[in-house]
Amino acid sequence: MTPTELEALVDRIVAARDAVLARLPTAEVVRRLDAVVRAWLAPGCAPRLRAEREIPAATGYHREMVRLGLRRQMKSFRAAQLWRFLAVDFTDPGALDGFRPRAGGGHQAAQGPRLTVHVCAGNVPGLPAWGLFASLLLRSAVLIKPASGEPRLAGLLAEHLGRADPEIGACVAVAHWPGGSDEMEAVAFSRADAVVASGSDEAVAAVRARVPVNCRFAGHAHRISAAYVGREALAPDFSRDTVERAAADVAWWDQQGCLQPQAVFVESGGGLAPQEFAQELAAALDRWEARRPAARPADPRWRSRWEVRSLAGGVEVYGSTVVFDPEPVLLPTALNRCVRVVPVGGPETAAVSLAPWRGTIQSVAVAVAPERLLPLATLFGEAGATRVTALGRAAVPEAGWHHDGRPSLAELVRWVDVEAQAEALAETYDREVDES
Amino acid sequence: MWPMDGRQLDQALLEFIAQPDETAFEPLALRLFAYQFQHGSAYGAFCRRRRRTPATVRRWQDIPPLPVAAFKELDLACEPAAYGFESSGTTGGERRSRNPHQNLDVWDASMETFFQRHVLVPDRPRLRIVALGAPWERNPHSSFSRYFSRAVARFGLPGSGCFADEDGLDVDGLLGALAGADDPVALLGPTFAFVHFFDICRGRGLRPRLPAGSLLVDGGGTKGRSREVDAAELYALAGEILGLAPAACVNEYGATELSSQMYDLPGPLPRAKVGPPWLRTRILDPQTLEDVAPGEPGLLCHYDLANRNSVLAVLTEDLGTAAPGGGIVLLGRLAGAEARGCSLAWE
Repeated sequence: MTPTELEALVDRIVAARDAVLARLPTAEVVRRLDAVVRAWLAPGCAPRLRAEREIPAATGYHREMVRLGLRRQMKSFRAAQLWRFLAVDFTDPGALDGFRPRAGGGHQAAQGPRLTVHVCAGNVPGLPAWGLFASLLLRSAVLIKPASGEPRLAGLLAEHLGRADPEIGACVAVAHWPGGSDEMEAVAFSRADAVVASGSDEAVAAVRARVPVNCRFAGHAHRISAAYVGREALAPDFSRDTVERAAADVAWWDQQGCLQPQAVFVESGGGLAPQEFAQELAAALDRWEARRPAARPADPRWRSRWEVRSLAGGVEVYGSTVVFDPEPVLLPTALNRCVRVVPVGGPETAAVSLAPWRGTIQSVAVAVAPERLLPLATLFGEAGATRVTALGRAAVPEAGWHHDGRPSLAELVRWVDVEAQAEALAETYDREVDES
Repeated sequence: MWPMDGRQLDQALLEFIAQPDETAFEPLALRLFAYQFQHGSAYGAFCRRRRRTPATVRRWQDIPPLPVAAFKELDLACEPAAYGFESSGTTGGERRSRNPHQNLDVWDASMETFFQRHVLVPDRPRLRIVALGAPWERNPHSSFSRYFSRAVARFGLPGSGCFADEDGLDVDGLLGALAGADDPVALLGPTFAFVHFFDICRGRGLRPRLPAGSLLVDGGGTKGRSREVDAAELYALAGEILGLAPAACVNEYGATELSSQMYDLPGPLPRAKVGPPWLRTRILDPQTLEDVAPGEPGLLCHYDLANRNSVLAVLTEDLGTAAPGGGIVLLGRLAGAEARGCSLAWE
């Protein structure tokens, strides 16, 4: 594709957006997107079946993981979930459809971007879907630049939209260009009201540097996540399930997503000691490997370095990817299901370990008793975590989540205020003035 | 097979280095392994975890290779170390590798013997040796400095010397040493020091042409330095500044964790490298640690008998392939299965 062709493509989707999508009420957009999602999930949906076939082939992710992962994700874009996205970010989603009264006087309306450009990372196959649905919900035309590592899903979603709802489908385009291509990005970004980029720190910084100052930019760069297991989840009747949950969180997307834990903090004094937990986790990950093998093996140097450390005592290596390490710190692993199990006396120690990663720490998946949940979340939140979720669900953020602690929709809109003083002045020109 | 103590091993190794005998490699390797298993507590523990002991290891290939990272983390000395070579810490914060030596007899014999055989020409056993590195007295923890000083002491004619110290190159001394030479010169140094020196020469418009028969030996590469230069660029500079042909340039492959060096075989770039008879190298699959099929790339695993006081079997993080005509072609460092996107990974 040449810059001229890209320009023509952008012209086309923005014109389609202005003609139809921009005029639809939010409730109608939600209804139509819901129908699109249902059609995607319906048996025999050709683009979905192709995604389930081609993405495992292109990425190496196990086909069951891709099938289930995409399915779970698309379910977060049905009507009820889309309304939740709106409700989390807007006290009155009606503001997206026109002026609504402000509590303190005056009116306000929220306008979505005319064009949003999404520059996607290739680590997790579902990534382009979040941006696509968020932007369409705001009635924005969407240009997606997929990652070279996972180029398929965006195109298949666009193809599906084109069939299931041609009017909305006409507002979406997928374009491939080499990252950092000046001419292409100049065209794409100069026309955008918002640019959303995900990827490594370097990749996101490179995009940000190219985005014009007046354009809204949201970047999702390197993140690291952890898990926390309370002793109550290690009681004999729970421990097995707890280990399986931790294994699922570690194994899902081979830990390539930023939501998957790289360390599991395990409280001492439960029915299962932290070191036993590490052993059980290694066994559970072996079962995952047998059932849904990882796309590629972990860097063997990671394991061998820990094996070397184990010779000095304290550290133990279990299976091929689990390290038991008494040192209470959070350290990045080699991913691909590599995880450290760290024994802790309580959440304060874990919070201290997270704190150096402030700004980078993402999710903490926890298994604790109800009275401990919010105090724990307070500690972890203060340490920098932006999402506390259930152990076993780390890979599945809920609809309406604040990605990296920021609103995903509100971040992209432009508010238009009509101030009370403008209304007051307007009143003075009212011919129907009450002359009592 | 009777066990040997440290002195007997030193003696046997010096004999092997002086008169290498293919068939003696394996028995000597097994004796050295038995010694290191017994006296190196960390390495002994490592082998027991791998369920390998001198009683079960029958072939030199079965001696468990220790990952090179262990040289950073563990004290591997079998006998108390009188000397220790350390890596020059390249990145901040990371621990340095340390290879402990009880004495330097075996190390020196290994270095000098193969240097003489591979780098020097038979009809010119001594020549002017000019090193672009600090002498050992100034930098006793650097194996490279030991290398320079031994080369100068054993093979250097008057005018030889080490023309650098902790603060860097002694450029004027170096230029002086090169200017007065009528007979061939051997220039030795870290690769990045040559780059630096050539930059200076260019900047000053100097071209200290070397007499015919001169040679250049560089080692260490330029990865992570302010300017990265590959062999072709370096040798082009050597031609431009010193008038040396690429055939007169030899790259040395060594490491703190080893006590022997490998050198380029003659030929076009990229060249294969060979080591001395007391160093054998296997090429292993990074995942399974089994030998790769011939010609396939893999991790270099060195069995260096001169590593007498630490561990003879060292699993590196360097990739290479066996060259069809013998020797090994280096392919750089093992690249991790890196993260695909926004998940933070180690390193």
